[in-house]
Amino acid sequence: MKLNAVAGSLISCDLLVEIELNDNLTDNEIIIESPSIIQYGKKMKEITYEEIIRNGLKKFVRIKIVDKGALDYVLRARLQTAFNRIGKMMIVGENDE
Amino acid sequence: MKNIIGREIPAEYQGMKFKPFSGAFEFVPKGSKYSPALKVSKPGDKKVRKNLREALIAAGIKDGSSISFHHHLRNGDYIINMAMDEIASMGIKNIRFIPTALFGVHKKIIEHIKTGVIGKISGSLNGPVGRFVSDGNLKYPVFLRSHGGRARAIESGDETIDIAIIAAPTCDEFGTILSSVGQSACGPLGYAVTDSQYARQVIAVTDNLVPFPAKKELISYNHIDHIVVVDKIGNPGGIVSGTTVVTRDTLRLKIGHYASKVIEHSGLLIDDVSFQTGAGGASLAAAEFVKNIMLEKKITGSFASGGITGLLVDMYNKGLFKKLLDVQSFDLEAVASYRDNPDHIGISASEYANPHTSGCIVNQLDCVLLGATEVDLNFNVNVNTEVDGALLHGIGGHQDTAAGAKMTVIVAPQFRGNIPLVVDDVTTVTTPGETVDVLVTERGVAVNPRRGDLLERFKKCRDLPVKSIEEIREESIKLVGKPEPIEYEDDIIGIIEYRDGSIIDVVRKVIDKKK
Amino acid sequence: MMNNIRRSLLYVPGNQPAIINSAGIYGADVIVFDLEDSISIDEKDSARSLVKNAIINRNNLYKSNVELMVRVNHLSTPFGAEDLEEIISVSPDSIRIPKVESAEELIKVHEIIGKLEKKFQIKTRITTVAIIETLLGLHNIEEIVKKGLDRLTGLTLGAEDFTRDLGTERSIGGEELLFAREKLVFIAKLYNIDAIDTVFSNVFDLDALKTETQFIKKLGFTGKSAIHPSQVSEINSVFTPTAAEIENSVEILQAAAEAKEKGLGVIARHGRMIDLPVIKKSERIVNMARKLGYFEEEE
Repeated sequence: MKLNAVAGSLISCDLLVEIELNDNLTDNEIIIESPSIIQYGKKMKEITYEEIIRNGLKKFVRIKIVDKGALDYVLRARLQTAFNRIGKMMIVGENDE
Repeated sequence: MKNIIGREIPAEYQGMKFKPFSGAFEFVPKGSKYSPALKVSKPGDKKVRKNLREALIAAGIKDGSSISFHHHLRNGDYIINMAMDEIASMGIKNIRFIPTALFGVHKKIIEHIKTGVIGKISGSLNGPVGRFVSDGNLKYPVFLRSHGGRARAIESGDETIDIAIIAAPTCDEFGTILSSVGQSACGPLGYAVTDSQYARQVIAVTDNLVPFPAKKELISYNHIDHIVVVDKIGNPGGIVSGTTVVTRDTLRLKIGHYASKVIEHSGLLIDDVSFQTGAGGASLAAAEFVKNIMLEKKITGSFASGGITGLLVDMYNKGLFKKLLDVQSFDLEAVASYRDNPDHIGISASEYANPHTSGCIVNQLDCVLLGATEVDLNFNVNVNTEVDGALLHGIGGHQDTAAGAKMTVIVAPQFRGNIPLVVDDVTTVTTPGETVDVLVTERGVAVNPRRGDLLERFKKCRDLPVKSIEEIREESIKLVGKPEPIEYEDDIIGIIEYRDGSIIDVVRKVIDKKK
Repeated sequence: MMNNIRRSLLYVPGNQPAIINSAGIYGADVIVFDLEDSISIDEKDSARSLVKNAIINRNNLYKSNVELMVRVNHLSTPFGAEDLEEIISVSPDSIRIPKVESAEELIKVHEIIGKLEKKFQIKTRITTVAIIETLLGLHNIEEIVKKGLDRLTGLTLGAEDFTRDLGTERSIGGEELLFAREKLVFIAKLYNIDAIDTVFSNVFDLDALKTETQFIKKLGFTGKSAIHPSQVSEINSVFTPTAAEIENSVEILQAAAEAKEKGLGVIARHGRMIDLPVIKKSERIVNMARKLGYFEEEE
């Protein structure tokens, strides 16, 4: 199974997050592009892992974040939205099977 | 060694000896001004050369020559690229490149650095060239100077110019330069004046050659050795940014509103007030609010100075200032006003801001509004380096006006995205905190503890959110967290000179973790 | 603590981080996060999540005395129920309910809020403001208020939809809204809840905004919604008592207190009798001044 969901935007103070759920992945992968990668890259990664755990997904994901200066709450919100969208796709997918 | 504000400065680097910054007015210069070589001219001598190459040869260009430029044509300038391309095609190498500022249009300079045509840079940087230099692509560090500091360095001989190349919107056959008229009219050539007086050879490049005599403005035939006529010295669309419009961005309007209240309640906004502001969104908004306060209270100021904008021209026209003292025009209204209005007076960079003279305009200023990328808890300001440590911006008149004005107000948003303005430690110190009095953001007004008098005044105003700079810092950390520090190599890519010639900071190369 | 003053209520589109980040700096008494009209159907979920996380983060984003209100989607849409579920879970101060047309409708929303408050163990009581934006809603307005007083703290007019329902258009003079405004104010005042006026849509004409705000204040409105940050200070300035008004009110209350102490039935000041409505008005002004921090130095 391979599913994709995006949330957010590339407008200033926002970020675009793309989650790919892929059965071929052997671990979670996080890629972050940000103007403040030096200052906040580590923290953004931590928050992303927290949201992966909170979401309780039992599969590995590849997450790509293109940051335009988003605050932490925006990062969380966009991750949650993307995960919810993936979740909804999975329900649809299961019904299909 | 550490300078007086605690920045680590090498005593010596690549054979250069550095004098550490010891306070805004501590250094007392000794000796005399530098004197350029004597020249001789005879009746019948002609100055107009066939082309730029001939002029450069006549001026004696050779490997290692230092060549200066000015930036009044801004992002519409053709001359820097034209001249450097010509120099490159002549096979000249290792030029010491001395521009007063660079713009996006000068991105091509990168090629000349790569091929070794340019060996050293002394002067301002901007985006793409700054990024290229920040990546360690120039062997020698760039010297960054303020407008006043550059004039000082040239007059003192710290910076010697072999050939000054001046973009002249109009020039007569004998070398009188006019910049108020011509298809590329751009307002006074304030920054080029010192270059014309101290360079060994001076080339005027014009697209509007007129018969002698033209009425002299700032630059005299007395200093011009060679004249070159070209089709166009610049693209008028890029020379001036049209009308500098007051922002509709509500956040910057909010900052501008608070800044105008700070000025109103400072006690300085009375008859004969003098005022300077940049063309940044918040500064312009503040000026607009100040205009309304002055109109309402019927205050007549003395002068506005610096880069002149249409807004300041409008204030003059409404009788709010008696004179405009202009070193560089920012928009079409200012250009037209300089041409038509005798009270709109051109000044040289040295008259504007050189500290080692008998007087400069900034010392007459009551109030200046300036921007910032970062401010630390001691009010030291960074305008040079970006959040990733790259050296992307020049100093402009920041150090000069801050040192001169009775009240220096920094206006800036408290966050750019998730990057806080107020930090424990600025990446680079451009302007020392001892010359900065007030910080205004959209969320608060902080007063330098040195200015208890201002603090007392502002505290009485219900409409000013007065906070300590530490409180603003705490607020910021709560919202964005504590940033991880940048790590640097030992290599120095830039030297930030204070206006008096001492070293206030150096910019080191950022460790690239991707490699 | 929220100070319960609602002079200005600033609408903020729920899916725009830059605007949400700085919504607190303009001095609005209430920030109204919008999940309804300003959000496209595709982004309803992301706006909901963004607003939810902003509310969680309110202590860092906003001053403590700002009221956070959320305009949710109508229960009849696919989004209304989920909006309430997600938003109530993070304890906003209040909910703005669109297109209320009957008491039953409002009661239903109140019941859902009550259940969710229990489910999420919300400590404070979440209040509501009903938007009247149809003829039916205006027709049933008294019943709506009477039955909804357990949570309802304000009424507001949705002028765009209302004028459409009326078969007319909004004009600068606002004659078409006069009856609705007067009726809404009358009912709100009768039941002692806030009367909040509709937005003024030309964001660049601050003078016309001021004229309209002065007009609706005269009608009895207690506050006005704003759709642009620049409108907030104009609205606040109309609804904020002047220093002279505050001073005068303080003196009236002092005179009243003295008269009471002396057991006098009639209160007089400067040779004129002061009656109960004047005292009530003075109390209101002093109360607002106190909440706005005018007496901080003395206290």
